[in-house]
Amino acid sequence: MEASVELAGLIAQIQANTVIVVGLMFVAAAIGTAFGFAILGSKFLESAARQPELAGMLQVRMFIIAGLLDALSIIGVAFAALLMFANPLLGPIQQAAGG
Amino acid sequence: MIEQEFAKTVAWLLRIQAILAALSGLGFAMIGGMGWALAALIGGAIGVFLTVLTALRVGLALGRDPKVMVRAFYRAMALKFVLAVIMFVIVAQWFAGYFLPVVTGYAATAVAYWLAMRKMANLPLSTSETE
Repeated sequence: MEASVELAGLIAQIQANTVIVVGLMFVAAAIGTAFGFAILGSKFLESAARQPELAGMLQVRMFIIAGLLDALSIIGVAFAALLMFANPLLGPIQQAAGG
Repeated sequence: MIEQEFAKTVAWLLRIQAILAALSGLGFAMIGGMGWALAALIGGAIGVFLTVLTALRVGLALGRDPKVMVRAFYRAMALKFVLAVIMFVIVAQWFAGYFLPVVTGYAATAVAYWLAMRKMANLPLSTSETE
């Protein structure tokens, strides 16, 4: 009985810490992407207003940079999804409980 | 003209992404077998699919008013992000054992953007491209 309570406490501790980390990952991804896209969009509009004939070409370059900007935050969110839905950090405890 | 330039860049990007996804699949086939290789290829396919979708949406607004272009661009990026999150949640929930190769396959396709940026940095920024 005592062992199962201790086990539940350990799992709860890991899950609580995981929730904090997942939150931080989402915040970092959101802030990074928001700032990146805001700067990208504002600079594009600024450049298009200054030289309208370059707008199309700048859009192509913006597409490439946005791909990079998005990719890093998507990878962060993907790891956050892994921690949320199939937390690998619980594995050793579950193994210990089983064995 | 700019539509052609965009289509050429996207075609190059997709080609490089497919090659990098195939390479990561090959790498994981040697490390962990066919299951891991398939997972890496699925990660690469997610990256390629998202690029195609975004390129189509951005490409349709090309050459229009900058305001329309920026609006289409942000909408395309939001859609890309939402679809990526949905796909990775599906992968994390049902294929958790193969998560590392999936993310590596996806990250490999992101490298293509770096290469494209490097390629674009060498091109001259002249108005003749837009004519």
